[in-house]
Amino acid sequence: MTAFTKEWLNAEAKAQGLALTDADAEAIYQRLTLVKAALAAQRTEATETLEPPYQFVIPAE
Amino acid sequence: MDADLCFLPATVLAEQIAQRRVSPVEIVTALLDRIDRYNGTLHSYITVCRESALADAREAEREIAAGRRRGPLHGLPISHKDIVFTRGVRTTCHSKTMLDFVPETDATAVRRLADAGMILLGKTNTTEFAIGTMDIFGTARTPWNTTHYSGGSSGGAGNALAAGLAVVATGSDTGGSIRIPGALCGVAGVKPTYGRVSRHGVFPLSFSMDHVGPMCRTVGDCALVLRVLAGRDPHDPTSSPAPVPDYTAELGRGVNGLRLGIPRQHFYEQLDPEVDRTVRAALRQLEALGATPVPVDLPRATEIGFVGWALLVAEAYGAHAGLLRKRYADYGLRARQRIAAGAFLTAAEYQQAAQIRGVWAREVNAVLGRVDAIVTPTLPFAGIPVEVQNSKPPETTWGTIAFNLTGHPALTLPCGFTAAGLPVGLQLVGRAFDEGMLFRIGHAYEQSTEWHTRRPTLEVRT
Repeated sequence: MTAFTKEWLNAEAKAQGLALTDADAEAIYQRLTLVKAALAAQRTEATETLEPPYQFVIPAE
Repeated sequence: MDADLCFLPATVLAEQIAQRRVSPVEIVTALLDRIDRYNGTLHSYITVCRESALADAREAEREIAAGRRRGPLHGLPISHKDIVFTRGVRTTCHSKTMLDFVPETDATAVRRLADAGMILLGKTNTTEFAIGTMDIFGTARTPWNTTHYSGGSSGGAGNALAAGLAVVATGSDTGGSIRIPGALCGVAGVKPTYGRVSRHGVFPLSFSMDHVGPMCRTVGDCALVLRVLAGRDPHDPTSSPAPVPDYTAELGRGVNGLRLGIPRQHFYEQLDPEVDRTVRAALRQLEALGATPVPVDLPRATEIGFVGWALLVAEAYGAHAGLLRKRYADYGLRARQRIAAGAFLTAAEYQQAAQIRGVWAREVNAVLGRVDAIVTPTLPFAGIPVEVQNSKPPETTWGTIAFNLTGHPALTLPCGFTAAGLPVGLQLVGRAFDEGMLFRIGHAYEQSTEWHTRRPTLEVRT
C-alpha cells in the first residue's frame, strides 16, 4: 500500500480536483495520521473474515 | 405576550388546545414575539416563517373548532433544522453554496408532522452541512450563558427549546448532533434506532450513521413526536418496517427492577469533576427509584471514536465530492477540512473501519442483552465558550458517536447544573427499536427532579 505522506496527500488532492490550501493539507494530514494509526491498531486477524454490516437496521432480538 | 405559554410542554399545550383553553394563534404569536426579542442574541433561527405560521395557525384553529382535530400535535408549532428540506421554504444547510436553495418537496419527517397538523415556525440554525461552523448566520449560544456555544450541529433547535423560542424541533444526529446540543442547552432529544425515522429529504452527511429525531423540553414530548415521525418510508430504503408502538404508553411505568449498565471504561473516565458529581447523583436517584446499576465492560469504547470519524468523513466526501470540487472556497474552513479528509482514506481502510464497527455493534448488543439500558454522561464537560468553539473546539462526540456506529437508540436529558449554571446531560442507550425503554427510564428520572422546569434568564445583547 502507498505510504501516507504529505506528498502523496497533495498529489491525490490534485488528482481528485481538490484545491486544498497548505493549511488544509496540513490539518488533514495531522488528523488522518492519527485516524489511520488507530484503525491499524484495532485491526486484528479476528476481524478480517468478518463481514461488515450490509444492513444497518439491527433486527429486534 | 405570555412567556409562560412558550415554556409549556407540547403534551400540556395539546391538552389546552383540545379544551379550547389556548389557541394555536396565541401559541404561535407568543413564540414569534420571543423570537423577535431573542433570536439576535441566540442565533436560533436562520429563517422564520412568520406569515405562513400565523396563517397556518388560523387554519388549524378553524379546523379544530369545526371538530376536525387530527390528533395531539394539531395546532402545535414545529421548528425544523435547516438541513431538513421544506417545500417552498429555503433550506441553506448554513452553507454559502446553498443560500438560495428552495426545495420543491418536503422531507418525509416534515410531511409526517405537517399531516399531523403541526405548523412550520421556522428553520433552525445548524453548523455548515452539520459538520462545520456557524459563520454566516451567527454561532448559536446556550441560553444558560450566552457567551457559551449551544453545541452542534442541531444547536438552533437546542437553544430555541431551552429559551422558549420553540415547542418541538427536529434534529439530525450523525456523531451526536441531537444529544450534544441537548446536553449543552438542557433539553431532551432522542437519536432513534437507525432505520426508525426516514432520512429522505434530509441533506446527507454520512448515510450509514445519519439519524433524524425529535428534540423537546421533556421526555414525554419526545415520545409523543417520535410516534408520528417513525415508520417505514418507501423513499428511504434503510427505513424499517418494524411496528411503531405508542411510546407514551411506556411513560409512568417507572424503573423498579430495571438493570442499568454502567460502563467501566471510557464513559466515566476523565470527566469534569462537576459533571462526574452530577451524573453520579443522577445514578443514585435512579437507584432510589428502584433501578439497579450493573457495571459492564466496553473496552473498545476508548478507541471507537476514530472508527466513527473515518466512516463519517469517507461517506461525507462521497456526498460532497462534486460540490467540493466546484465550490471549495465557498466551504467554511472546518467543513472543508473535515469533509475533504474523506478523500484520502483508502477503500481498504473504509472496509477495515466497517469490520471494526461490526465487532463493536456485537459487543454493545451483548451488554444490552444483560441490562435494560446503558447510562453514561452525554458529554465529559459542561459548557464551551464560543471563542473556544470557534478556535480550538473540544472533542464533543466523545460519548455519542459510538452509538451512531451501532445504530442503537440513545436519549439525552438534563440531570443537573454546574455551580456556574450550565446544564449537564445524561445519556441513556437502549436495545435496537426499544426507544420505549429509554422514554420509560428518562421520564421516571425527569419527573422525580426539577431540572426540566428551570428557565434561563435571558438578556437582549446589543
